[in-house]
Amino acid sequence: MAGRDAYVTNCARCHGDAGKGDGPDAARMIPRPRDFTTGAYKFRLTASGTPPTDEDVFRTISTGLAGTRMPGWEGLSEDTRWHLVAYLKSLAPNLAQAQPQPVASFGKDPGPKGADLAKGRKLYTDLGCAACHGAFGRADGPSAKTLADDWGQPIRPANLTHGWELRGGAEPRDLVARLMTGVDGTPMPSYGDAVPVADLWQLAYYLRSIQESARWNAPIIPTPAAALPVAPDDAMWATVPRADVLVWSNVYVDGAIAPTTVTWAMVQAAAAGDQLAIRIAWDDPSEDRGSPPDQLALAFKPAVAGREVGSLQSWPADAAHGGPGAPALDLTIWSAATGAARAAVAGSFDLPDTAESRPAQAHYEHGRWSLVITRPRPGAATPLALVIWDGGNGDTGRRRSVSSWMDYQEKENAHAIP
Amino acid sequence: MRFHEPRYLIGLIAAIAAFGGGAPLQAAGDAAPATAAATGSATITGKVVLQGAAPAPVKIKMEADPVCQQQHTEAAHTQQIVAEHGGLRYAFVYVKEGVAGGAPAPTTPAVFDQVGCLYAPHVLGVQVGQPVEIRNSDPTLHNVNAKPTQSTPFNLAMPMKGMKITKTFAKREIMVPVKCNVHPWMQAYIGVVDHPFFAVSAADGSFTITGLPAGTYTLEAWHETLGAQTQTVTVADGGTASTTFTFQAK
Repeated sequence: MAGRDAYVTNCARCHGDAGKGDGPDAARMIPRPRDFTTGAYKFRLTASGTPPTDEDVFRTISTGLAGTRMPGWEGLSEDTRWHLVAYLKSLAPNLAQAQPQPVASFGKDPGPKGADLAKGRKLYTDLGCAACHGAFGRADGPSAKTLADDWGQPIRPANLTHGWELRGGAEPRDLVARLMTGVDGTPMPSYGDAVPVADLWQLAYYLRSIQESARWNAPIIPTPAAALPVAPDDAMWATVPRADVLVWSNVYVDGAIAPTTVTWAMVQAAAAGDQLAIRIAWDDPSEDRGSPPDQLALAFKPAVAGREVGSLQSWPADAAHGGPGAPALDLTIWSAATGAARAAVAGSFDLPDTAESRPAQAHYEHGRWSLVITRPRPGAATPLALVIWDGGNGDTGRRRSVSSWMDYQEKENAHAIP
Repeated sequence: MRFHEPRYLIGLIAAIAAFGGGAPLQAAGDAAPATAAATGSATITGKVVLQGAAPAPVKIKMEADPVCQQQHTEAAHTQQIVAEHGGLRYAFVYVKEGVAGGAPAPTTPAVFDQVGCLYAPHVLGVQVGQPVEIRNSDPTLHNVNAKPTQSTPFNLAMPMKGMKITKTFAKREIMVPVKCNVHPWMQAYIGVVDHPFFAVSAADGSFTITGLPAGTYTLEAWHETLGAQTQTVTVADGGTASTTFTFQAK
């Protein structure tokens, strides 16, 4: 049986031998792999609660799902992918019926020129999107914390500003499809009965407009400033180039990956004299000044002989984590509990009492922290990384979101980059 | 819509709850199903009793949505176990066996409303194929997430006050759970049966099922947390049989 064979080879590791979403790798993934035996498929062009068409399943297999561990399988032949569609349908009783029909009409794309962003914004408010997705789409709505999927597992609403994480695609046509049909198995309902589809297109263009225009892993080069922009909302920041980075965690609790809420950060830098202002923005669904608080560590990697720090995921490599101590990093740690930042060259995140205080200003608004830390200029190109703790998610110690090393450069060194 | 008088809200929900039951559809002035397969003049009446101490009512925290909170001058309570003077409310009582099924569905819709961020009613009975008019009387977003296993499930956004959607259930099912993910305290149950002989127990635990043909029936009382019980009841034409279901408080 070609479908079963291809399934066992390519899918079972995550989705499980019987398709229950419980393969050996499943616990290491958020979101979890889909349980095919219930027949609930998220990304369809069919009405809410209705099985997907064969083309819906084929599309998801072929393109994969952004922001998840589900890759696209265009490397498999089309024949094999169609065999997989047939096999997946055999796993759920409700998929055995006649071929479901897509929603009759998804309306007409008005195109960017026909988009009325103010109307889209009003629809976002009127249709209650903010209840879960937050006032500006950053997954911080009042109901966000209590959402559960059909399996009773906690589930977070999509951060609509992170287009790269939108599973079913970030383009207006993808968003209209989700709005019309809902995302089965999750709390996301169908809006097909609520407003005319023309309105959903306007909403979709608004949602497209609030997606971050990320400059992934761009070099961070300080922009010269007459006076350091030490406030996160200083007008100068609007003109400073950004560098975006994904942050993630690989921390396991009882064999399952600990859910993280912070998945992205953006860095900007400005310099005046020998002083550097670094602005960092990141999305965190809750403002936590209590215990544990939201925290951020800014790490510069000094050029030192000896051990290299390959990844902050495993830093510090202390005795409990298989290492005999860690190379020191130039750390600045900010805590929402105090609003202050402290800095030291240290071998762990527990800074010594001799740590210096650093000017820091932060504000939290609608699911987003913006923080400016002021410190001396490193004076040379130095790798930079971020460690972010969401207190509301229970992040503390090694439970945290970590970036890869980013590329900080001094302006005068820029010419050296080929 | 604001309710400055909490008793009014409770009364309204009770009225809608009664309206949503099987027999009271007629009491509301609607004609009986024109071509019901087998109706008669027998009545089963009775009471659902909670034995033991009823758990203290649990207040619902509605802070997450000020629109919900503003509609209640006093905190609303969860509806899982509602018992007064020994009567158990919100049990779904229906003829499980003994009726030749297949009664045509009434065209009169059963109303399932959302009022003050609570379902009205909390427990509803409908017939297979009967239109269920889902309403939103709140000026806030609800998603009506119904998870039948025998009919097509649906999860529909109802963002505007006054919005109505009509759905039907294709097959008999005890019970279809309905929830709102935006307001996680909102939970309702819809009983779908293929005849008109059902009721939802009232605030005092009482229920009445009318219009039955003479015969012997298996009657079931279903409760969301206390389980289900059945009894055999025999009733004659024009007669009334009385029965009591007793659930033990956990």
